[in-house]
Amino acid sequence: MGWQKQILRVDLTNGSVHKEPLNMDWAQQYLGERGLATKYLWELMDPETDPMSPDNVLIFATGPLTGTMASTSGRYAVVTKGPLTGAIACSNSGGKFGAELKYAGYDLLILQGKAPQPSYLYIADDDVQIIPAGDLWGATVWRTEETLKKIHHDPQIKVASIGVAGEKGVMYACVINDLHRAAGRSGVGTVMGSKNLKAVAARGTKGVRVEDPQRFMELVKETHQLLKENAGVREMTELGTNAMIDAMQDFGGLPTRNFQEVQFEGTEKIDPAAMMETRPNGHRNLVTNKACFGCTIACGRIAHIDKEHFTIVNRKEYWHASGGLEYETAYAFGPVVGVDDIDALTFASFLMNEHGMDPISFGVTLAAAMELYETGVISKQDTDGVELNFGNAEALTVMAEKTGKFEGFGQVLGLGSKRMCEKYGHPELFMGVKGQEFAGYDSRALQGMGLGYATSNRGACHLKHDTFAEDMEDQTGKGKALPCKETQDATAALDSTGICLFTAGAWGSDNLARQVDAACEGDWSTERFVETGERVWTLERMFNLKAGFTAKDDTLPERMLNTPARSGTAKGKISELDKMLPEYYTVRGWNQDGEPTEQTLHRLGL
Amino acid sequence: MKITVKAGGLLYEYLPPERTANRATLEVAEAATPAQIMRDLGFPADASYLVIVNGELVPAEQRAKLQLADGDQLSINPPLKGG
Ligand code: SF4
Repeated sequence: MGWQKQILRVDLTNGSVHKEPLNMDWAQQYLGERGLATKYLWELMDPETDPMSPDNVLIFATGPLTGTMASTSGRYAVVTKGPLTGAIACSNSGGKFGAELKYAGYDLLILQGKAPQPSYLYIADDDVQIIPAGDLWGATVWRTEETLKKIHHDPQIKVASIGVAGEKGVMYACVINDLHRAAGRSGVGTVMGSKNLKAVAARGTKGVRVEDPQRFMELVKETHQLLKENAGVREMTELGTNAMIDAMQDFGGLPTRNFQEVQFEGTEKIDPAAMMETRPNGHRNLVTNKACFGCTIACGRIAHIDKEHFTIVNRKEYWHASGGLEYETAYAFGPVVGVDDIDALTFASFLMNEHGMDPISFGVTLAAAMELYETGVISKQDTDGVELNFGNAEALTVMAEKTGKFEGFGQVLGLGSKRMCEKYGHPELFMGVKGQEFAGYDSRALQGMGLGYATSNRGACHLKHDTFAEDMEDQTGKGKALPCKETQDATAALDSTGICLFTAGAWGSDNLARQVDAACEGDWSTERFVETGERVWTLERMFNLKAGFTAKDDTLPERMLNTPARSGTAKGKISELDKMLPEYYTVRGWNQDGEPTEQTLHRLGL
Repeated sequence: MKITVKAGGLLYEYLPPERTANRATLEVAEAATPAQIMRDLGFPADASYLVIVNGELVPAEQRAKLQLADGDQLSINPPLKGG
């Protein structure tokens, strides 16, 4: 158990809805969520398919622990071929939607084809309907969620939807659920828009059964305690993920002004202390913290903007509290674009959630546009008259809104940094890998992070491996390949359970494997659990190889490889990717062309 | 001699009460090491830290060896992690 053992398959082209038994052989090999969805994707589509064509497959996947009593068990993943990258996309999200979809009775929702008219999918247990979206097409994420709850007379419905950005083809549109939780990266919302699908509204009443309830509850108690006692978790609860920004600044790994620098002079104006400070007029940015379904960490930040701030002074619709700054949003609207106005950063966060866009990709694309502007490649004539200098808070918020509404220069920013930089003849200014923009860690200061970025299957990503401990102790490429590979596998396994990655500081793979073992049939030893992660990682790689990627794509921008860091603990250093990558291929059991060997495939049953 | 200590995240809780936000100026013994200062302030010995002195990374095995000088800036952060 753990699994509902049922999937929902919807062909949007012809409107057919099928409930099918979950393939339990695959579940035993790929577990759930990220892994199981990858297996279904692999079986259902040709990796060479154009991501924006109806033949692309979009999968919403829960894990066997989703919706259980395990802490942080609200996760679901959206897996598809990403339009931003052309690679496999796997973005997961918290909130409550994932558990609700599972309670409706489904492990996976598989969407194929393209609806003949804008539509949304309504799922209430066994009742599944494709319904015309009407004037919801064109609505924001926030209005969509509110309206769907009203239409169906049920405030308990959980909604995952896209904004105009997803409808119109911003290449990094998200799927947003529960107003401010996002399956954020690689353009999974863009694929949803290309299918004419505005939203999935789910209501479930079936609950989840586990194999051995007593053992499961004992483990739940034990693992809750581990979270409670962990200093890093306590910090996440009290300060949110933005706790990291001061350390990253001191370290000199905080990408600033499109990665031209690695430290930002305005960090103290946007850090957790600034969020918690009460200003002379009585305003305090942070209102409270918030937890996703079943989460005992509650890292989410709920914030509001000073009503006197230029961004919202005449816009009452933004006077409420909503999703505030996390580390990645603080980075993407702060250092990388050189802005230190915390209200402007918070407003940009609101806009990302309201319009459904990935803040990292938006911020890094804007940063490249700012560099193009400051070097004279583009001018005010290109930018709708906006002075696109680094540090211009108004440019940040105006462009966030234009991109969200797909207006003016926002359409160019909506291409993502790689396509935009190519359009203006400066591909070297794109800061990312495989078409996806970097998160807030510089590869010259954090060598293992650079290797993780270069090899991540969904393009540059900080969430698919964890070499922070190694990067903190040694700033060379030495000894990074093995921990990178091992944590990629462990993370792929974790991402296949329905549990949040932020448990990883307190729980090892053994804690997760034991919970899976108590919840599901089959003997889930730690070794088997981690090997499942390796199988998932390798199948993702196979998808990308078939899609046309090669070892040449496992690389970093010239700026990381040739321009030394200007300051910080890594002053003078460049990325040592050339040393790490061959070693990485070897520890993975791949040849030097980055292809898994026959032996490796055989060992993993692929 | 006097040094400045900055403690990131929730580590400011280990600074003396006269701290300003997450910073404090401390009077320490000549040639004190980061390890001594952290022990005197009560930082748990079994936890992991990111320690930087005057912008230079101090790996764990150096923390009991590096002798600080008057005016040095010691920054102690929790371990780096993703977010
Ligand atoms: S730790 Fe944060 S992101 Fe993860 S489930 Fe809890 S609140 Fe959500």
